[in-house]
Amino acid sequence: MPPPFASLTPPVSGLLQPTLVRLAFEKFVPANGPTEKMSGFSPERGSTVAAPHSTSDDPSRYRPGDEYQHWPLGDPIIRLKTHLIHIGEWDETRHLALTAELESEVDAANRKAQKLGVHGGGPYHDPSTMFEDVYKEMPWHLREQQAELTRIRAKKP
Amino acid sequence: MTAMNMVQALNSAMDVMLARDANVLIFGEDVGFFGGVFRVTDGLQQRYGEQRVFDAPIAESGQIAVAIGMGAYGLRPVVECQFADYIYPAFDQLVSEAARLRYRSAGEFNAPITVRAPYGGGIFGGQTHSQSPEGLFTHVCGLKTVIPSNPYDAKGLLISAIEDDDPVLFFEPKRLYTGPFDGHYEKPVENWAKHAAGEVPAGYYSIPLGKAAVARAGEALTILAYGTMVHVALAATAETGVDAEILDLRSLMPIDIEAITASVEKTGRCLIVHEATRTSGYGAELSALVQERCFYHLETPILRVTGWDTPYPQEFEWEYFPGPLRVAEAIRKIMAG
Repeated sequence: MPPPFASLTPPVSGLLQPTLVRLAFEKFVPANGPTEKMSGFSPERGSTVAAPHSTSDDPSRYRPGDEYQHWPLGDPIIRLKTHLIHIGEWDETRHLALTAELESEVDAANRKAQKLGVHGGGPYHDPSTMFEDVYKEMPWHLREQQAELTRIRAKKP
Repeated sequence: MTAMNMVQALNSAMDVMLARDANVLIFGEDVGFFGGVFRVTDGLQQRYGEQRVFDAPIAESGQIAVAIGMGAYGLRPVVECQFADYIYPAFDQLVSEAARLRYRSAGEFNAPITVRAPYGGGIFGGQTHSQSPEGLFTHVCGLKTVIPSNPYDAKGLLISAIEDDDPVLFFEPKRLYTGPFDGHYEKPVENWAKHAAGEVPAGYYSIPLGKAAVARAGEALTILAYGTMVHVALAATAETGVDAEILDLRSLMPIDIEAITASVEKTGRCLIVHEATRTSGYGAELSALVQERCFYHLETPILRVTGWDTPYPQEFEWEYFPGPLRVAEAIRKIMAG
């Protein structure tokens, strides 16, 4: 037996999500509309946030440290892995290799991003770049404000 | 009198009103059990129970819609929108429903609701936790907009907002929650303890909406400011040595036009300062009002110092924030004119 609801909630990616939500609706919504069972289903029930909201966030101030381990249906990555191994489409060796590969890819991307600039540590772009990308072409008033900022920064002691 | 920061003063205002009026209730994201991300509703659910202080789903449109319905039937809901930046999903409810309910029903129904929202920058909140959207709301007929600059005013104005029979947007400059901030980010952080306006009565009092306060009396020019910018204007005035009169508007709608015209007629010069973006910002309205009513008293053109017309850039917080350097320069320019 696969674990219950193994394929019912969005397991890993947005790509799978529409199909799974449709499956959930087909399974739970009869022709005459939503039922009590249906009202208990939402894609959010199958996902949660394990990491902090942002780098400035300390979730230990407002939620138990192991909360994410207690979500209703369990970690969907582990559920999907168990399910795929059960049906013979996956195995532990390949899972370990994929995990290592993805971790190294994320680490490399993180290192590359940090070289471009880190909040509070630089390197920084020129502040006048804040006026870019507001519009495709910079209107006169933004060009004027950009020049004003550059002038003020040059004056600053 | 009790020493309070702005968080405690706002909490005290709601505490007082929950105790005084059984129709007052509070809800919003994380305001109940947790007491609000900025702790403004801390302890209120424990004191008044889950029927009167409760958590709402993260759905601002629904929060405001529920409040309007409650208000139409006699309750006085106070909704916390966790950041002013999150208010946009509720814009239709505020503009099309809350603002017009009285008008549309020929006075039969009204929306006596208060929407509190932490507001403004100075805390490295980036583009989604730093905005000053007051101009979007002052443009809408039927809404009132209030922005305090210190704990004493915050409590008295919030009590008036809750008691008001019209919908009030109550924007709380989050950089001022724990202390005054004059834009000198390189200086040590101050708290409200040493500030006169950090002395707040523990009980009930109110400050009428639509009345400006004189933050500094002076003769040489008038500076119109509100929220954090009152403190920036005070610092810039001190640094230039110019005898400026600084009006803390406190309430943008209704606006204290008598205080503005009396001051500008006296000084003959006017500087407008706000943190919000410039184009179609509230400063444009102020500038038009002053020009229409005080033209023959003006010695020099009215100037504005505002946030730039870009989203709030996290990395360039202090290049964006209209600090004392820019305000002082505008003061000198007006005085030289």
